[in-house]
Amino acid sequence: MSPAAFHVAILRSAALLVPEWQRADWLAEWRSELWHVRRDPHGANVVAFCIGAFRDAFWLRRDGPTLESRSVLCLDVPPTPAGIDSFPDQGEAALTSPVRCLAWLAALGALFLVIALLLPASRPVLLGTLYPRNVIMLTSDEFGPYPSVSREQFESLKVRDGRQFTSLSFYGGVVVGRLRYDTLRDSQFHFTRLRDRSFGLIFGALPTFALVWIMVPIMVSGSALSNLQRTGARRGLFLAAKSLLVFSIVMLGSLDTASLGGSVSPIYFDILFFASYFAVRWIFEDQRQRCPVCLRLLANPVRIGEPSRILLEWHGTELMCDRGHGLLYVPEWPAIWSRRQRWMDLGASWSGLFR
Amino acid sequence: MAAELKLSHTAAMILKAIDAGHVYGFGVMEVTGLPSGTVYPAMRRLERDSLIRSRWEKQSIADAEQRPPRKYYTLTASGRATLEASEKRYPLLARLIPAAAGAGA
Repeated sequence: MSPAAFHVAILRSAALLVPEWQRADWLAEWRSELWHVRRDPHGANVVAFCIGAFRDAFWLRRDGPTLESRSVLCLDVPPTPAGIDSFPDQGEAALTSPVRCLAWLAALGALFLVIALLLPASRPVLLGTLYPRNVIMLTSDEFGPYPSVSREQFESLKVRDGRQFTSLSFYGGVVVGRLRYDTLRDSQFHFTRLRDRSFGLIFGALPTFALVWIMVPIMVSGSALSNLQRTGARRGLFLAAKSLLVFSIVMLGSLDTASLGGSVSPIYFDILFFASYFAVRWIFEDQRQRCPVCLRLLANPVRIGEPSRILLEWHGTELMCDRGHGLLYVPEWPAIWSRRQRWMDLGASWSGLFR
Repeated sequence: MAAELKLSHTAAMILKAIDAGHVYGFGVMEVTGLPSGTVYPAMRRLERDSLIRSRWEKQSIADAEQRPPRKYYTLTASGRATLEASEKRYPLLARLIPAAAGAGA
């Protein structure tokens, strides 16, 4: 990492302490000052300068101006007449900021992880201690652990390979044994390590989630995806991080639910599938409602037009980025000329209206 | 006149530095010798108490000089009154902080 990138990384780390609505301005000021400090002819200590940003950020977090003193649009609005209440300040939703959204998801994932580690049925699955390493299931069919071993085959196995096992049992077509050594040599039977099966509960969730992740956008109408087409690296990274965290939540949540009994219930994969469906829908819905520039959730939804006049004018909902980056138009009913939602960038000339 | 705030010596130095024409954070750091972790929070506090105000430099000026725009700080009327009171309290303040090159009297 170059020194310049390192210095900016320190400032960005400190910026996480700054209340979000002040962060951009705060970071711009520190980066501007950093530019001058790095060119100081007296050779200022740049790292010490950057570390001071933490104290400044902490002060703003603890004692700085509050969100209540902030307005979205700086318009000269006459004072509210007596007796009429102004709109209440709705504050900031927990998931509005992308960083806060990821933090919430991580916290939820951590909660499910703790629950999974506390539940007696799911804990061994997670830790891989459900079965000892050398316990295996033998089958005569390579396609899966189905009851396919006859009594005669079991008897011949005992005679031929018995020395490779410390114990061997036959359960109606399935043979379970404990290997004396690490592997089974020269046997006509196929074997599966039961320990691998417990890991399969975890890693088997990934293809299920991935399949749903691919299928849901195809199933959802095109209008839900139009805003996703504006993908940048930052937006893609946010989607990837969100998907990864949601996958952890779904997998651990399904495991927790299926482990409420004495053992991990076979309905684990059913729960996983349905939870994945709703979770993936939320992922894309959330992504669609975010500003392509700053990734914050769009705000101030306003209904425009009348359903009865769909042939004459646009009808739908308009959402606005509270940082002034643009407007999103979501049609209520897709028409030929407004089939998809549309994003409109607001140029720099609008920035004076937003704080 | 509203009752002037009683400033600490550090805050008074920063206020004096801004009055002397050191109008951005790093300039105040250089002239006072204070670290960034002291100067910037102190300036935020002064701004919160309406003793100073900040404004961003015009982008066109910064572009002409091929550098990022800076945030400048200036004293408000109450800041000037508070500084006058502080200079009586800390008589050496004026000697500690020289006027910035190119700053008006």
